[in-house]
Amino acid sequence: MANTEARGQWQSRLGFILAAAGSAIGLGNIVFFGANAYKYGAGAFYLPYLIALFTIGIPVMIVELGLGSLTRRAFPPSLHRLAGRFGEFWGWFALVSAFLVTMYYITILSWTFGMLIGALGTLWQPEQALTAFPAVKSLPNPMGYFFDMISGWLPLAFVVIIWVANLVIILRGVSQIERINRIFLPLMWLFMLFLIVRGLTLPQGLEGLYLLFTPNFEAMKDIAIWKGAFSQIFFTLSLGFGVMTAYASYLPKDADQVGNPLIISFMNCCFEFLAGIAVFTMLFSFAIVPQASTLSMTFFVIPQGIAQMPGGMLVVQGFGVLFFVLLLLAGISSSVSLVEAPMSALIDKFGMSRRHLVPLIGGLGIMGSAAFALPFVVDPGLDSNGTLGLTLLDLIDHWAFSYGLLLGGLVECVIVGWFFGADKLRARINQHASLHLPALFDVFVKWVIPAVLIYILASSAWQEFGGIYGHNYVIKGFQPWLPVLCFLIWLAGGGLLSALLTFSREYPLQEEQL
Amino acid sequence: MRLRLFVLGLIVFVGLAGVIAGAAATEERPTLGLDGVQYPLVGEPVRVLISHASYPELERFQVKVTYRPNSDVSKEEVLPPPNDFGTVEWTPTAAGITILTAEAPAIEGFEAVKLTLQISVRHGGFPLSGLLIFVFSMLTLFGGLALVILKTTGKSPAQHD
Repeated sequence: MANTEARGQWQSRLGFILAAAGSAIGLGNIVFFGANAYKYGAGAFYLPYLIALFTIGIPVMIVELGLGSLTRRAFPPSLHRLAGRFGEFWGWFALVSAFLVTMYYITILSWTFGMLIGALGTLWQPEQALTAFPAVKSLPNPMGYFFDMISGWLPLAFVVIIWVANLVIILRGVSQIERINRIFLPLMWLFMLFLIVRGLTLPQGLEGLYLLFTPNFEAMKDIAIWKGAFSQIFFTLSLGFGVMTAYASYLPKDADQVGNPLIISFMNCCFEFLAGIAVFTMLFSFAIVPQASTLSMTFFVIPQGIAQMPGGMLVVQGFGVLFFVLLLLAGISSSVSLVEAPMSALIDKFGMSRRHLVPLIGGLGIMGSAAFALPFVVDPGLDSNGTLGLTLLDLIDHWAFSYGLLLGGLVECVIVGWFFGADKLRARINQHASLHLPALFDVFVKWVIPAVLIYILASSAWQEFGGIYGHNYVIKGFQPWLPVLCFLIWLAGGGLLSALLTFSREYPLQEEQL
Repeated sequence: MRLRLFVLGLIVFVGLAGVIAGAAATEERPTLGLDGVQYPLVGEPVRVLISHASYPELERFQVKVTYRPNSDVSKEEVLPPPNDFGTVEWTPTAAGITILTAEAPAIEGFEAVKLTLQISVRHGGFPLSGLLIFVFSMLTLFGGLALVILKTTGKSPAQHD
């Protein structure tokens, strides 16, 4: 009981669901889904996406939340209780990957903040001179505005602002996170509805809807589409980083861990469904060709569509501001959960107070995010990423996000399925669930999900043999070693730090028998 | 006085000549467009207009359509060369975002020309397969959400220790 008071607890089920849904609904839902859906053939992508939701997304969400409420600990100590130090090591490794992602995620939010300021005026000018990129000289906006902004030092100040906002929220624990999400989440839905209505009322906007859902059955024979759909579900639900375990650890033990994950997963995918419609109506109406990248969709493609909206500059500015505020709300509700995951793990491991951990996590985080905002130009012709910060972001994202998330999910399924027993977890979850999990759940956790994740990871790793990611980039002054260094930071640095954290000390509290 | 008028006339003449020359130069830039349609319909022929301007050999233009560019389902289609009036008939075979490209190589005295046009090709209505997926996904996601909320709201929202 005393421990519950020290760690904190959600004030209500609704508060928890809103916070967890706020964590899952982030930039990825608004822009990454649209980018992926377009890349994989829109309608051809939707059926595999729904299948992935039921075969991977919901079961892993149940495992993550089940772990948290069963052990009432963060991700590494949860896995420690199931599989000793082996489990804990992988728990820390997932959190190190998550923290790297948090750092650049906050940098992206700081750029979003900069774009929001630009949306009040200069972002909508037709062209932007680029003094930092002499080989390019100028670019049409909003791309020009973005590259001009990231090649300056101002985003570093935005990084501090966004970090401070995150730390202020988590300083007061889960009650504050709950309060913020009670405001942010309804606002996000409201803003999304505005964008949908506008999208559907654009000239030929309805055709965007037809485009999003009409399948090309021939394309569904391509394994890449299935791989893309299964990865998308994992990413969109924020699985594999231990965030959901950390959030669920603040729930009472008898929380409904079938109903909660179902609601969170459905809520996330409903939002994504609407975001897909909003994005596709705009793409179709303005004949914009997107690229399968979150950054280009966020900062170039969608703002380009907004810039073409009929009704004059005021309408353009209004929708521009609305879009970037929506991104900030979604982004901050997600980044708070990403910061909370290591925070709760360190509290559990070292028994430190939030007040002591905030400067430590904040200091490290600001330094990391600042590195991703470094404005030094390493690619004067803008053939790759332009600045050093954006190049680092791209390289780290490739390892920490694309591999780290899936690896985290694989490890937790293996530990729950093979070390602890999927049947045991199912029995414990069913004790307090309104809807009971069938025995098929065990088969998915033990066999199906690990097999799918191993396939995706192995096929992605196989492609690295053609040249480590980023080796063919233009990175003036940092070639050819920077891509290798980023890979080593993630793998060797993450591994070493995880080992140090695992073996540094025993858990201070006596654990009850599971 | 006559000299002043002469200078003034000269300035006006040079200025006007500049404006006319500028306008003419603008007109002379090659362009690519569609004849009277902004959103062509899949299966319905449409005329592609190539204003080749000073480039002398229309038949050298190669016109290409890329359906769903930058995607895994992207496909290309080469259209016949333009006729003497610079038009090509094109019947879109797939709906969605499309890029039209008209290219002509460099020839003696003339630079290579590359013209592109991004357009959206309409389905013209919700195809049955698309409608089914739309309804199915909406029912699955929103219906699933509603059902789970209804099934689980009987439980106490906060069950603290």
